[in-house]
Amino acid sequence: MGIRDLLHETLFSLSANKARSFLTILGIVIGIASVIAMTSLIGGMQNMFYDEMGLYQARMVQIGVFAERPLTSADTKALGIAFPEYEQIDASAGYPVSLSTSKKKYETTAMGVTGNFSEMVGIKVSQGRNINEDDNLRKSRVLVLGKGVIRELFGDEEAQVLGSTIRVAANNESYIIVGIIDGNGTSAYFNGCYMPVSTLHSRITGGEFYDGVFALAKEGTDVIELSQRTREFFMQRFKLDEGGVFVYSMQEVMDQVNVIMAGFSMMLTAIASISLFVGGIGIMNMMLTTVTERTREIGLRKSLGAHTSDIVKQFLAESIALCTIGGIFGIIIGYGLSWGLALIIVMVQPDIGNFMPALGLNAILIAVGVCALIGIVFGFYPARRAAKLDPVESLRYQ
Amino acid sequence: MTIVLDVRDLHRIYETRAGKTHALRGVSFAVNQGEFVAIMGPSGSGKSTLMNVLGCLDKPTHGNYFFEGVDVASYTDDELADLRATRIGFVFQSFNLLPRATILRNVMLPLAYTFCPRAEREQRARAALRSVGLGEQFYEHKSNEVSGGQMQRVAIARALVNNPALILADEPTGNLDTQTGELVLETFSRLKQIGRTIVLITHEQDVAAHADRILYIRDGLLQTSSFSIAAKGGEN
Ligand SMILES: Nc1ncnc2c1ncn2[C@@H]1O[C@H](COP(=O)(O)OP(=O)(O)OP(=O)(O)O)[C@@H](O)[C@H]1O
Ligand SMILES: [Mg+2]
Repeated sequence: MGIRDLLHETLFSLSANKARSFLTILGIVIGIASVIAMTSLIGGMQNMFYDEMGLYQARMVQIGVFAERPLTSADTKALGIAFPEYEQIDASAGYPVSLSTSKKKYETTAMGVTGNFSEMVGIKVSQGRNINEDDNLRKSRVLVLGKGVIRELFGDEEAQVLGSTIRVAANNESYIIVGIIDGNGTSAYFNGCYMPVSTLHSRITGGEFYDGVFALAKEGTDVIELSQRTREFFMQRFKLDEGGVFVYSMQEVMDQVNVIMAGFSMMLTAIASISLFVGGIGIMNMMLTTVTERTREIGLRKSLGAHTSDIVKQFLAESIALCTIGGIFGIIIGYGLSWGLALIIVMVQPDIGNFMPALGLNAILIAVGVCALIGIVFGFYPARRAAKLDPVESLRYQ
Repeated sequence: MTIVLDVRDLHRIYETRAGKTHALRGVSFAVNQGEFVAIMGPSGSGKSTLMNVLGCLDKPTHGNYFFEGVDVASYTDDELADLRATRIGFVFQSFNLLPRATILRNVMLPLAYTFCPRAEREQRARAALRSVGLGEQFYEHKSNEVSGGQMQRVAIARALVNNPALILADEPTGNLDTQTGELVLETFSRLKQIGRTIVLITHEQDVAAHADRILYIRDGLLQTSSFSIAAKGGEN
């Protein structure tokens, strides 16, 4: 029997029992729908997580020391020479300042940053520009502010203040706002206040120091191994033990996140397996009933020349089709459900921004594949049983 | 003349909880190619049992069955299935149609198990239905939407559709009025003329009269059949 005949037969017999087929696949539909809904919500969260992160975060190593003397540009230069694996090294220094307009005053920490710092850590501006190399060379009095700071100073986070001037104590000089950082309350840079690090050092702190160094490893470097060697480098340079040097790579964090996600997926899989197993039993039950009901038909087909394998194929095709249809419904319902849930999440927690479920093609293909497999596993016994029927006995069956 | 089927000392014993039934007790006979043989006998005498063996649906408990010169005991199950699909056409005592399928689909069914290309199947099914005198208007009806006589003709068309060498019919005219019965018998006569071998079971003497030869079976044994051949010879 050819594949097209098989398809015809399958559609023909499934359409005969629409209501029963529908009830039977409900278990599979629910199982797949719940997994797909969860998967697509998790996918959405992951996307949000990666969106928040800069392009380079996976290759970034963050360095700090707890030593007698501060980190300086001499140290970062030495680092660059010792480790050609770093393609770029940036640094930041924080210092408490008070920002003021004619009406309001706001105490915060100003972050002095080197030329490519903003790009490396993924600070995105919605208006204007980030602090750059040029600002550092000129020691310009420029600021890039988060919307939280703008709200504090101007009363409204959406205030159009690009190009405005504000004053920065200690010496009350005026600074121009050249950039406004994108993002609302959930953004990590909502309360950010950035200026060139050279400006901070020369005009505010009066001395050079870095709080943190951010080194970008070249593409293809083993970041975790590199950060280990970097730690040793600084331990030697500052004569510190393990605890005195802080070297931290985003890769490690991402690995941890991935481990957590994998654990979560495994739990999901376990729950899904149970419901799919129950669904599979339902399919087997229906297929056994079908075989019994169609005993005469099976006898007839065999007497007309069907091979044992033709009968096996016919019933397997039916159970695979049933499960796959169930799976497809499950995917559609699950995806719809995840959108519903996302809407509820956004309604309850508007800060989260535009949270969108994300369902990969992989997940869809795996779901369909798993359903087909369930069809095979749970359809095999009924199909075997049908194929083994004796034609004469079956034709006599009432 | 080639011998199409040749059975020797066939026994078939059914074992049920109620006990053993010796349905065939040593049947031997042969049928030539192009012969039209009728089998008659009282109810329960073993006619259907014999037919199932001849159609390779059932295996004898004892004895040999040679189909076209080969002992069918030497065939595998799949080879037997191929034999049924291509060489043998069956008309069952109860029609055994697929109730929800259309008449056309019912007749096309055996062709799905042969190498007949899909495009050719419908044509052949229509030809078979025409040859049993069933009008076009019924072809798209479900098989449970037509009369018993029409069902019987669909069953015969299904048996003919793969151009079998041997046609086995278990009471094919049992449900038909005399006129339709005649039509069916004419069909068999025509098939005989183009060299098909026919074995037909019947209760009716005038149906059996169309055959070249009548075999009488009683309690699983063939009665001497010389008289019927003589009778037939006398007619000619
Ligand atoms: N599958 C079976 N299991 C047990 N006994 C059977 C089976 N099939 C037939 N028999 C018995 O074998 C004997 C012959 O039955 P068979 O069906 O061959 O008779 P028949 O000549 O075709 O009768 P009828 O004219 O009524 O169709 C009967 O006694 C019947 O009860
Ligand atoms: Mg019978």
